[in-house]
Amino acid sequence: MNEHDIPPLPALGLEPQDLDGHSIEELSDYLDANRTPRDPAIEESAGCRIALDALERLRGISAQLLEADAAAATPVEDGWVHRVLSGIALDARAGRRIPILDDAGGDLGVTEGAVRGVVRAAERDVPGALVGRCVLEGDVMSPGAPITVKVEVSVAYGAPIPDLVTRLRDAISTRLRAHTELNVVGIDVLVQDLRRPNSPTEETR
Amino acid sequence: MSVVRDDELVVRIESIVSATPGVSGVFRSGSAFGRVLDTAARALGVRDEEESLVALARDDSGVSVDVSIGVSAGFGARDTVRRVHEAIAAQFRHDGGEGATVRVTVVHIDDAAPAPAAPALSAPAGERKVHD
Repeated sequence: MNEHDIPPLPALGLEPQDLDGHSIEELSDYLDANRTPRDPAIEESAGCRIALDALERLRGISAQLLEADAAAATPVEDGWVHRVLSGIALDARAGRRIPILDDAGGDLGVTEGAVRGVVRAAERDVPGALVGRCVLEGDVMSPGAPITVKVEVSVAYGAPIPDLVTRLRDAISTRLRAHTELNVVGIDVLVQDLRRPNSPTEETR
Repeated sequence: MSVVRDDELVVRIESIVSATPGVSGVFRSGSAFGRVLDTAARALGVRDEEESLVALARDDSGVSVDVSIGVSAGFGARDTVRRVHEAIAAQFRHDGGEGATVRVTVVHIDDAAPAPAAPALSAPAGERKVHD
């Protein structure tokens, strides 16, 4: 097992169309090969690209934890990895089409999958946080309808959770305003896992 | 009657879309099942890799164009999707032909892309350079 390996996956309950016929395992292998040779079927699949973005961020954290695991007396509990991977795969589906209003009469929109991907990317701004699952609750296809965003988060042990949740909520809100016209009435953050042992590099990320 | 052949038109539209500020890529449009079939066709080597990713259809009501795009996060999905629509509509106006129903969908937002300089609306392909 090298530093980029992720633990074997349990059944994720995915259908072939969820990642346009590909699997998380295939995408993981593709990342192992540094995305070479270029695979057009993967690179031109929006679902695969959303999953690849999240997998790359997950790998950075996994490598840090494996280093900590090697130095620790007890192995790192990796259930959180499976939960995050399940979220990545499920969230990469295109889902509903969210309208973007246009005075020029265009039929414009953004997929729910793209929005979930950018919500997940808010973890870039909040060291220690890793988004597992993201759900948009409400009628996203009706302009102005109230929407609640619910995210499940894994947190590095030792991180101040109230502060982390506030910053994550702000980062998600900023991204949603930049990319959508959703009427977001709430962002619920559920801290589902504490990742132990804590890696020193995680704190300085 | 079309002045430009449809296979040439979709290539031109894809080029216009790709050159629009904020667009990080053009993706295949269509149903999830269709994309799975596309993946299978690629694996079997029976799909033309040069085939355009833009979908164009004609019926009694006119032309419809369906485009799926990726967006560099710094440009914003809302602004970019409007620029893409305007660029395609401008091309149809420039060609002097019939109007088109244009559907543009953001399917991926590239959050790792660098922040942009403020972009301007695109001009029709006939009035600008297109970078391939």
